[in-house]
Amino acid sequence: MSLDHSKTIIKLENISFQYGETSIIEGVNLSIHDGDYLGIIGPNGGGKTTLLKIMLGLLKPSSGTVTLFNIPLSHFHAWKDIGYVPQKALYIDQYFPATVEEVVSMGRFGQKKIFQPLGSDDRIAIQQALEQVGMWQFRTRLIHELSGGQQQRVFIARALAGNPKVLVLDEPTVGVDSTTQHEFYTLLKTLNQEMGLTLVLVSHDLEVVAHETTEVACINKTLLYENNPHEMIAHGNIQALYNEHLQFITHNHHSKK
Amino acid sequence: MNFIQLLQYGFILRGLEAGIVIALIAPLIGIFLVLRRYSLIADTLSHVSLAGVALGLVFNLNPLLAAIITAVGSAFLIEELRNRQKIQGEGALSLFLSGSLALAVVLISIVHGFSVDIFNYLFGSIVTVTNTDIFIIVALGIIVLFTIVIFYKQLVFSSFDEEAAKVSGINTTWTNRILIILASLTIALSIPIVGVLLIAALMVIPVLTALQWKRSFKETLLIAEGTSLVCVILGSVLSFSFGLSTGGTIVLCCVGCFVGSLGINQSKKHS
Repeated sequence: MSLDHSKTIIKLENISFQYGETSIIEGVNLSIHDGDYLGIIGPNGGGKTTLLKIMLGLLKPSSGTVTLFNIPLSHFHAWKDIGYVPQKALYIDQYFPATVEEVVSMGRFGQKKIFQPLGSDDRIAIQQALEQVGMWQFRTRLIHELSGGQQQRVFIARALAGNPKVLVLDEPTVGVDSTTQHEFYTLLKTLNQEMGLTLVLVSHDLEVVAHETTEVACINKTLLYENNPHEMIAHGNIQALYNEHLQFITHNHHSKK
Repeated sequence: MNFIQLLQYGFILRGLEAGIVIALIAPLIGIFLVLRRYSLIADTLSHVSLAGVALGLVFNLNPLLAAIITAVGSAFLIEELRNRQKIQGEGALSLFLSGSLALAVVLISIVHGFSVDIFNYLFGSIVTVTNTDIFIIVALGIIVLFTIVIFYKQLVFSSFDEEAAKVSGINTTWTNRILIILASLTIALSIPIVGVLLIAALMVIPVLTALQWKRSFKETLLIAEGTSLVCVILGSVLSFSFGLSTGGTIVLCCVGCFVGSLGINQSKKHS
């Protein structure tokens, strides 16, 4: 797939967000280009998820503008181009009776008119998405019977079923063991490199972001740093991000939640 | 008296027709309320409906119509209060539940002189359902049924994951509004058959029964519908045959189904 890395698909301009009197985000500018694999990192409470929700129109910024595919958010309707994988696996409602296939089929709902049932093209898209994440054989299982890693794959499949251009993931591996995490990031890399899918990944996990993504944005109320991840480590920007002295140690076994 | 003989009574047949419509729509709404942890809204709207019935009696309007208008109007208000975050979700429900019950009791004490049998509104009665009531129940019941079918996808997605549904382009604010309006209509319509105090049970217990079987969403919905239909028909017939309260008998049938399902599935788990 040919990618135009100069093409901006998500643009945040001067975004600020206040919750009551408390300022969560101040004056953030961020551009995400076609084919990027952007990691948004920062400490807990630093505003990463808030920024993501503003990007997706789930929260209204106190000031600033969001542009998606060159269209202002308030006029944007092509939601099928955006696949969202929420921070969910940990607290899936164990009483909600939905099979894997039913969950993934929801990824096609937004494209349907009211009263229009799913057709054969939807079935094909659902199967393809499940095969892509290696979960087709689990299609008749109930979602809450699966492990955290498997659930997260199903949520990716749900986002992929709509054939999006961008995949936005919020802390996708919280509560997932390290082997499964590794498989999960291999899958994301494939989606980015082979299918040309733009990825936006919010994570508190520096190690993952440093090793997996091609771009990084560090958020702690303001945008502290935006470039490629290797330079971030090299130039000690992490200290600024966490306001403390921090050594960056790489290790393979990682069980931090 | 056997079932066929029972059906020869015109009023029983009419009551059953209305009962079947209620049996079909109650769990269909109930499943979304239960899964959204929103079961309390059914209780709230049923008490609001009682205030509506009382208003109808005071002002000499059709009590069922008055209940429908009051319930739908209050549903809108509750949802607005929640949306504008003027009041916390459950707080709004408690406010409406106790407020409307107080209003209902005061109004009923005013009309008590007209010797209205308020017992039928509280617990339902298949025998006293009027022709007008049945016409309203069937007509509006079918509208509720079709509206759910039309918004089925939106309701399922936003009940499972409201944020993701919103990002996919579904208008979740309107989906929530439609759900609460359909819930208020269903509750008000059920009053003549099941009664104010027991309608929430008919919406919730068949769904809880179906959830014990741990099946897909569609199968769960079908089991809930089946349970509800069987309980309404069986409960109505039993109540008439033995002169029991209709609403009470129906809900006891539901409780029986729930206990049975729970027992079967627990024993499966341990075997």
